[in-house]
Amino acid sequence: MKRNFFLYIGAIIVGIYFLFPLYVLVLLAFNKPEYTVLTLYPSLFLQAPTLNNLITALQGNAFIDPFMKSLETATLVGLITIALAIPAGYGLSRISRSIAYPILVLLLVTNMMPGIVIGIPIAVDFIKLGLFETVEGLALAQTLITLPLATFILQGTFSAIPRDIEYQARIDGAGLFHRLFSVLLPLAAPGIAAAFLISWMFSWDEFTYAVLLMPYHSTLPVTIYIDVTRGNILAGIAFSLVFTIPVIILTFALQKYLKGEYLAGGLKG
Amino acid sequence: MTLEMIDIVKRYGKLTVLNGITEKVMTGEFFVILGPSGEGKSTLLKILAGIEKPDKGKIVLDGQDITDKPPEKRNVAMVFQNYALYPNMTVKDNIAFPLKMRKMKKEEIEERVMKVAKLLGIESILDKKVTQISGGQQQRVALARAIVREPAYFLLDEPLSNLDARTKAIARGELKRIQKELKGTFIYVTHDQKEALSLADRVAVLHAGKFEQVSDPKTLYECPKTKWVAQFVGDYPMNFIPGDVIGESVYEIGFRPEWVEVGKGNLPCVVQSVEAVGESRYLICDFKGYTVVLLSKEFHDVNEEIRFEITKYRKFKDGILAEDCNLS
Repeated sequence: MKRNFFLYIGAIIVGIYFLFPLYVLVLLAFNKPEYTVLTLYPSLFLQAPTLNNLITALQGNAFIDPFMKSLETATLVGLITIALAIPAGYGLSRISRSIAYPILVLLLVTNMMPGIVIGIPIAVDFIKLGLFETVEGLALAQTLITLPLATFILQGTFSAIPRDIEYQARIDGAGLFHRLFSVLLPLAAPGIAAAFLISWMFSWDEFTYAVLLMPYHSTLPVTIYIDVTRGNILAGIAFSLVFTIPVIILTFALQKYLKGEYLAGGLKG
Repeated sequence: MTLEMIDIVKRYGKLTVLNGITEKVMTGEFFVILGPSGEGKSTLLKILAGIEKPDKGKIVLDGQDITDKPPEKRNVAMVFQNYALYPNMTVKDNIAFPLKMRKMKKEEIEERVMKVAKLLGIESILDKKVTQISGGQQQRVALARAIVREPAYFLLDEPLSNLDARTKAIARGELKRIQKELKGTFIYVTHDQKEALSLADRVAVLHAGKFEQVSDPKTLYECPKTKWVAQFVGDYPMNFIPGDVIGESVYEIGFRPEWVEVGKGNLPCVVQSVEAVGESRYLICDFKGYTVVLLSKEFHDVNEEIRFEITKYRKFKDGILAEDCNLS
């Protein structure tokens, strides 16, 4: 009882610590600038609520362009990633572990290298290939990071699907198409969704590749950075707020899919 | 319809799992493959299903070589040990799956599924997810899915091993009833000799990659061809003692616990422990340095010295049955 009490107090303190920046963001977004960015001692409370900050910032192409670019890039990254990670993860789950695990570790090597080290040579090549400053190019580069992670996730997902189910499907007369779309993919759906969402979220706030490969008309993270550092603070604040919302929604969506029991039931006796 | 296995050999690396299996299974036969774990029973079943390819040998169905036919082209049904139900589907969809794959008409699928569900008594759970039903029900659904398409033969890989003792006993009787009703050819794998003896028309004992004996359950129990089979089949292994004690000096003699009369005769032994099963008692007994198991109706104390008489026995020489014996 007493232990629980202190645990709650601790949790609340940690919660406040992590949520405070978000609170400040909301405060900046909905308070009149006079009480926030334009004063030396900004108030910690909502003084004069207004929507003007947001309306001004979100009007026009200054917001829509980077937002759409982020959306397109993230979605493309998610799609490319699962399209490649499904066969890779399936294959790795069906071969001997002594071969599969070293391959998985090797895949993660790209993630060990700093993005900037890989990003600059990629930028040079992309200029030659005409992929510089394009959504497709940026998406490909970001997939470098998401693909190993997604392959890792899906390898685990497919490993949890017993081989016997595939055998059963074959015996029941299912050809490759039905084995894939009626049995394997529905069973792997939670893992696929998780892999897609994680890739999507990674791309959504990815900065290094974005600033190297799309420096002029870039995605939201780069735009926010430019706004904040070049003095357009209110726009930066409004963008940040809109930028955060999909992440929060997706985090909740993700929680539901990350439950392991999704797969285990019914397969074992 | 006959299913023939001709000289099937299967190796994994250097390990030879199956080393020349030859046998013919007849239509409507309940054929049980019995053997200890890890002796390649499941491998043989997978070869019969087409999931695995033998390194040598042929599978012939009605005179047609089907060794290279993939499972989806063979008209065969299988029940796996873990049932391998599709967890993303309802009971009904699970049962209907093989029919859908064969592009059967909707009405016919519906009709067949209902018929099978009725046969197995699972009509009430058709709309449930397979994850929401009990182990016994899952086993029935797996069986229903196998039955629904009327395959050439059925393969069952220890389908009862995940059930608790009571459910298992019921399921065993039901399985036998369904097999007789369908007149289906069942090839059933198990490590449980009791299950094998109670279900089978014929039992094949798999040992060291070969069928060591293939016979009806009664012959298998009464006339085991080798010492190994004699000790593997039976609740207790067959007792073995040198033949001199009863004047069969050349042989080793084997007798089952119930082939004795305790309290008669002149063979002495000292009771070491007693195990009561229902009304009878198994006496684990020391006979001149050999441990033997005797069945007795009477109660005996540990360390009590008793006498017994062997009423029936089999003669073995070099581990092989050395007399004519066939009960079928």
